[in-house]
Amino acid sequence: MVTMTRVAAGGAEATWARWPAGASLFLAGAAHLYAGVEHADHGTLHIGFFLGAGVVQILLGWQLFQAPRTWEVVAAAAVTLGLIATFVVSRTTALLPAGAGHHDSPDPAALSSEAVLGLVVVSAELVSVVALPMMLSGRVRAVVMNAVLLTGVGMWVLWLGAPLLT
Amino acid sequence: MTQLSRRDALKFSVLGAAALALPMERLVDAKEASDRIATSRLPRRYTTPLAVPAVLAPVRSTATTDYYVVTQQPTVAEIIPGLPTEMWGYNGLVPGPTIKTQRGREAVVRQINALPQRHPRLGYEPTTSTHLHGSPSLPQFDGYASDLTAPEQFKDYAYSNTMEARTLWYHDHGLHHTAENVYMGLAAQYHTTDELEQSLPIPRGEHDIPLILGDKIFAQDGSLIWEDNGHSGLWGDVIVVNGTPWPVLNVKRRKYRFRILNGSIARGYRLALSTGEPMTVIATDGGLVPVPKPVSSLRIGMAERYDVVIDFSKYRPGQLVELRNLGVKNSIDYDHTGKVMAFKVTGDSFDPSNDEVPQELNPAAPAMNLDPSMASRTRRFEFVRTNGLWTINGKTWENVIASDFQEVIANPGLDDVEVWEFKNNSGGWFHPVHVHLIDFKVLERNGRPPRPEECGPKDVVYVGEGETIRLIARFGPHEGKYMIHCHNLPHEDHDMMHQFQVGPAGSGEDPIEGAPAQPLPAPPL
Repeated sequence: MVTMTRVAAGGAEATWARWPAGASLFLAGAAHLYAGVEHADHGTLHIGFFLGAGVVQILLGWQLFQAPRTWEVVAAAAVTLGLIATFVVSRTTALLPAGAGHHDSPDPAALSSEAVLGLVVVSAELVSVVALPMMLSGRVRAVVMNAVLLTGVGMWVLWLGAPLLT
Repeated sequence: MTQLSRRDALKFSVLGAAALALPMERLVDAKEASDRIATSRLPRRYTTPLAVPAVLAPVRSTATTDYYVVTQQPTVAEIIPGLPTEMWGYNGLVPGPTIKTQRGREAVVRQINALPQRHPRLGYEPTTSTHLHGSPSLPQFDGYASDLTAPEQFKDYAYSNTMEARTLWYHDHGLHHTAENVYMGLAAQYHTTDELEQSLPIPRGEHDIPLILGDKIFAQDGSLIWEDNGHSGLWGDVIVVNGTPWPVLNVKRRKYRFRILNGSIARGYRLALSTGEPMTVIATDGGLVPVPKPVSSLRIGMAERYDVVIDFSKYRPGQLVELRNLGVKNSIDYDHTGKVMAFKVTGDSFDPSNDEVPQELNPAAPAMNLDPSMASRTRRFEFVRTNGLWTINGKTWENVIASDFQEVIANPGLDDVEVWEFKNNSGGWFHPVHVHLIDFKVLERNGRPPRPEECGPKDVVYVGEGETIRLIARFGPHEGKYMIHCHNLPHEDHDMMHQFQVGPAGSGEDPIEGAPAQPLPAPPL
């Protein structure tokens, strides 16, 4: 059951985990804000998405530093899983407006700056996904871990089935 | 402290592997597919000035006719700073020189094929055929795909220029290699003006600028990469305008006319200004529209022309106004294909004459005054991919060749008015369909009115995914065999092209034997 209990007061949870979780969300949020500026010529939908994601992640990251309530940790996990899924789907299928049509300019010398930024963000988000459940216990933690698994499985299924969809 | 169990680690690994490996797999695939140049070596957007193609002067003029000489020849351009790009140009220019003519004055254009015996990378023999797109040319001067001019041959094309003022373009139409030849640079604009256009106070002279859009793929050594995705199309990651990547043009605070031609092989564009302000369509493929039409965005398929007026008087000096590409379905977009070019507004003084867009332009445009009640019949054409070939009603240009150029897909009488219906059932591609000889009016798009920009006479219509288009045309002014084809050039080459006969079977000049190419050296014009 999700309660209003502060995680720091829970005892069994790894309170140290709030530092990597919060820092990685801060980093991902800042990167999303930067991406919003970079996508200034892609229309309001893209700009809104990146700026919105960035602000939400920074606010959640800030809360994680402040001895967060359980629901705040769960919210951070849900937002992060959603953003990871969105990233993967946008880069591997045509299901989103920026879908298969969004090709990184092939660069034989190095990854493009956009690709590097995307990988930095998703890496930071993965750190937070690992750290966030450590701040939870009991049934809530089990639910979050199952959500992690289902998100991963869903992405693999979508990737394998994407050629049929496009 | 809550520990990470092995089960948790397994769950994380499923997610982590998907999040990192799947996007990386696509990146690696893309990089292995070609030796494309690094993005970092491309010119920065909006830093290189727009080049305006030179105007070709006639080599001789008589009371009725202007004579021009155009040589199709290899040239080396520096599109990527510091790297040579081998291209083919009309008179060595990419794009080629603009030919400007007056309605009623005949033009004779000598096309000399001075191309190498083989394409430098693809190895085919570059036989060419030059089509003046937008001109009701006689069959033997229409750039019939099988009317070929081989290297070390020439052909004199005679154009009567009887049509209304318009933006035309001349480009290669050679059998099975139109796409490669145009991609190499064999394309240029051709303008015809008339008394009506000259009487209008619309922008002209230095304020009337051709914009030929294209997209290219460059290798690390600067050469062009040809990659047509199994004859589906070529979508480059570098947008060029008049041969320059993402150029910038200094403009004064007044109106400008831009003659926009989509010269891409397979990329459609949806153009819009970064300011959200409208552009005003004043002409379409077949010339001035009856009434100007402001549009917030403009969809332009391959070979379509839209002349637009952009009013820069509302912008402050120093402001950068971008022309962006919002993209269309089934054109592959890259990081910077959403950008086309930019206009930098200056505070320079300017000539205030011809700075208007009248309420009415050409209400008497012949094609726009056609009505379905005038049509003698309706014909239907389906554009379908079958067994790896692009076909029209199941037929291809190979069928035309096999019939010794006798098979036709339609046979309207001279001056007949007909409704033609083009159908594209696919959701995977669009077809800009070009009908030679005629101008037409778009009547309907899936039973609904045409798009706002399709407000004037056309010779190419964008048949979108799952769309059925109805159009109306009067067939003339010449009898003979003329082509109909998709202007996605790999589609055209493989082999979505056929022909129709205007007038009785066998009437009109033979498009191949009527005026065949001759060996060099050419006599004086």
